[in-house]
Amino acid sequence: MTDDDYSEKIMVSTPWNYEAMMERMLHNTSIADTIIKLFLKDAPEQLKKLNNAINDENFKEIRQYSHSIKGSASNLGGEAMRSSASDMEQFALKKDLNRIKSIHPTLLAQYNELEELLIDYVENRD
Amino acid sequence: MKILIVEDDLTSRMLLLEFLRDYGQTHVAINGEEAAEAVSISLEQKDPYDLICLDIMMPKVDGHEALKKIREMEESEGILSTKGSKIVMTTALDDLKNVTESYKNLCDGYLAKPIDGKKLIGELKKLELVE
Repeated sequence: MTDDDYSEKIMVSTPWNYEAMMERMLHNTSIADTIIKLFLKDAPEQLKKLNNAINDENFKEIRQYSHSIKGSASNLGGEAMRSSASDMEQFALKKDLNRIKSIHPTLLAQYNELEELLIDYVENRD
Repeated sequence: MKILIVEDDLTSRMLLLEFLRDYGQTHVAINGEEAAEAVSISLEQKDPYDLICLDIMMPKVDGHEALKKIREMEESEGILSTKGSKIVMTTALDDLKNVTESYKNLCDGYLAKPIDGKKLIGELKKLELVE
């Protein structure tokens, strides 16, 4: 395994890369708070729509919602969630329902972990 | 500066809005269809956008189609693409392969997601929209 591979592996297993997020948000805590609160409100809705799309075997919508989840998770520094959503988007393109269903619980568990960290941050920052 | 943000993802949209609000009047569209309508109105009013941040992958009309449509509308108003709105396409880093040569000629820059405030302002400086 090369150093780059190792870094990538560490990166995708990180539930929340706070430092990278703050760097991108110019260390502006007000912006960070707004985006975190929006994510906490919006992500469950997106995950619900994704769940429905999987049940309906609607690959176009699976791709659309996993792409959207990938985007918002990456803005937040939710590296692990971003990586799984990205994989799911690729599986949707290939219409590979088995792999979509196999990665879905991982994505949900990663969201729960990220959600817990974000709520803890919002409640205890001040 | 008059700015149009075209983005279906809520967090990306709000981040762009937060970073750009200090630079001028900022409008928002959530898909390519709305973007084309906003541009059409701005051209009718002879008050075009200086900057359009355009997401590539969106439902309904995607960013590529919207880009083409916007340049066609500008052309029908006698505006050359070099003199039209500065259009920065936004896309996830692992989707950059979606950016094809033909579209590169129609837009002015690219911004890889996640949205990064420093990179965004750097792009605006490169396009000479801010100092």
